[in-house]
Amino acid sequence: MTPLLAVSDLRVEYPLPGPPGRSRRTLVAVDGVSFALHRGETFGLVGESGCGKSSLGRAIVQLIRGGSGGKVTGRIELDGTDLVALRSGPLRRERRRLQMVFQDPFSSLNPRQSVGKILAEPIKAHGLARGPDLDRRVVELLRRVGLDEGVRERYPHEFSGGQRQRIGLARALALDPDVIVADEPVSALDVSIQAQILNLLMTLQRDLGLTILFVSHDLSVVRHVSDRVAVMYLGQLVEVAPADELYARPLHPYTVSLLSAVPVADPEVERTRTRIILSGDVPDPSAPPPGCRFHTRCPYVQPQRCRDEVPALRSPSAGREVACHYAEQIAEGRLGPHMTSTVG
Amino acid sequence: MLEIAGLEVEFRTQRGVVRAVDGVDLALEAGSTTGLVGESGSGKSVTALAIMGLLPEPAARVIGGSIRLDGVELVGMPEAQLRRRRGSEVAMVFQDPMTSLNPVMPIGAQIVETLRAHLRHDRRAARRRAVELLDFVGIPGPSERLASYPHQLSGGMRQRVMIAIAIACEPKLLIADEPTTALDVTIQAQILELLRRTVDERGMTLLLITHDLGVVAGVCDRTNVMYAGKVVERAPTAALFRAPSHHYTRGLLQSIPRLDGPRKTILASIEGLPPRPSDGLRGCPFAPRCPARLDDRCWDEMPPLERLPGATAAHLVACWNPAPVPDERASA
Repeated sequence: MTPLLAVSDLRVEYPLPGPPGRSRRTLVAVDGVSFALHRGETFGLVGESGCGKSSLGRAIVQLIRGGSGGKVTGRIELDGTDLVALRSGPLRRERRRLQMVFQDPFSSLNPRQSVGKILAEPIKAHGLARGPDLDRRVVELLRRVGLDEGVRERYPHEFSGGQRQRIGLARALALDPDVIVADEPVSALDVSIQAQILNLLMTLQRDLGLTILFVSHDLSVVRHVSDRVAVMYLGQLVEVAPADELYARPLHPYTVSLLSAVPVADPEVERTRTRIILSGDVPDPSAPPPGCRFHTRCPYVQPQRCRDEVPALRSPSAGREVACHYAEQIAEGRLGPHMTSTVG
Repeated sequence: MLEIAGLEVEFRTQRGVVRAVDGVDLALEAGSTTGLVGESGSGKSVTALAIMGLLPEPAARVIGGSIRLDGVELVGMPEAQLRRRRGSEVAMVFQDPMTSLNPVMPIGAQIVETLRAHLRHDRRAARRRAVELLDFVGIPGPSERLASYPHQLSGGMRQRVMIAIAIACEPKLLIADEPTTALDVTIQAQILELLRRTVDERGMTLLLITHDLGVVAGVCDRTNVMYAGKVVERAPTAALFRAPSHHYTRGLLQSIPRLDGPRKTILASIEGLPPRPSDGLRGCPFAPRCPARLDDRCWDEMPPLERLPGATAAHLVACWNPAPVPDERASA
């Protein structure tokens, strides 16, 4: 089966401001990332701030395309068409099929436009509907995201965070996209509202057959909505696996550490679990460590190889990918972490 | 050691007067760790600011109730006296250290200033103590770091510095308001570990304010759940998570996806939105969203925070129709 969207060897770099006259340094936010999205799946992308997950999402929906905003190389193929190489005319048609949902919908909604206008405009611009058809379509979109048609006359500031995110979703759906890139879509919302939006996303996906790239720092949320999950660290994918397997049997030491650090809303679990407390901060992404990028914080780091040799993303078993020289030894318990802490 | 009774705080806004804290009672035993959980606007942070005497007056003010620290009334205390107590008796760590650290002063000087103001240390003793504190909170190379400015540190390091300043004068009560909310998960784990160690080793009392039930589960002995300016449920943390009884607490717990729960299921969500002051509710503030409300009573009358029938004496709930408790003897 050919994937709906195939990303290969993608690289996103930004110029860094530097002293005049000297050669410009660059920040490589995404460095050689490859993965594929299959039609109808939710693919979760998790990582901490600065790991490049948002840059990756924005590059895919063509929000980063050369110029001062950053440089993209590699391939992003939508049904076999490489978007990176496409000229602006044909790209415009393909872009319609890729839509983005942002963390803060308010910043992406024009405050001077009514909700009705926000939703109608892109449909008109792409010549997809007009007149009574257009009105029907707007009402239909609102209904899909759980809003009353009466909100058409209102403006974004009149809505709560959760309702704004519904409007953001409606706008993303306006052009009937195949792929939605959702970048931290529930991170700014209160817990009780978060669940409403996650439920809506799952329902929309099922009803419309959407393919979703779900970008988030929240491992519990990603696990809940995703079929497969990729873990990103300092611009690279370190592990890709079906969601169940990734969480039950993480292979990369970074995944292991991340999972052990997530607070669980259960005092019994919290009291008895073993935590791996990673030391130090994430290194400066503009000067990543040599060898394995995680070796400076890795609780399982081995003296030579991890510092000298870049681990490739390889497939130790069907459906799983990991970029660690020692993944098997760690999984089998032959290598233990150097530092853990059991609370209580 | 801390006793809050009937605390009421009002904010004057352009849209009228808002009762941000509406009759909160809270008692913290010395050496305990207490969680105050709620969503935005629940009044949890305002409660903390009231304890610190840091409410943005005159827009906000305490209009009723009392806050006693070791028997001494803080409400109405003159600012000069409050200032002496801040730091030496109560100290606070905020979500964003950049708002409370001075951006143009090296971190060493900021710690030294705190020490000299409260403990009258001489310069050398204060400097020595600053190095000890930075070392305690896990800043590598503490003596070299004294000269660093806040912007030269990562978010996690800044939060460590904030904790160092907060504990510099060995306060009895440490209030941490969303101390890890802005941090990445691996850094959050480091800071929570540091908070646990600080409270343990220094015998401090901790009031932890957070929206994150997972954080409370890992840190606090007792937990209070706040909604619309009121404490709606209070219990030993284990009992609260095992047998949540207020329908808001239950809704919250059911609406968060768990790392060990089912996937791709429709999450139980709390429909609707928290009430606004303009809604003019007389009864339980959660009634409009509550799946178990009773027809008349819940709309008309605010339920008191009372012992939950069948539960341990320490499990209190403010609800006319609480979810029954299975059996709490195991946690007693």
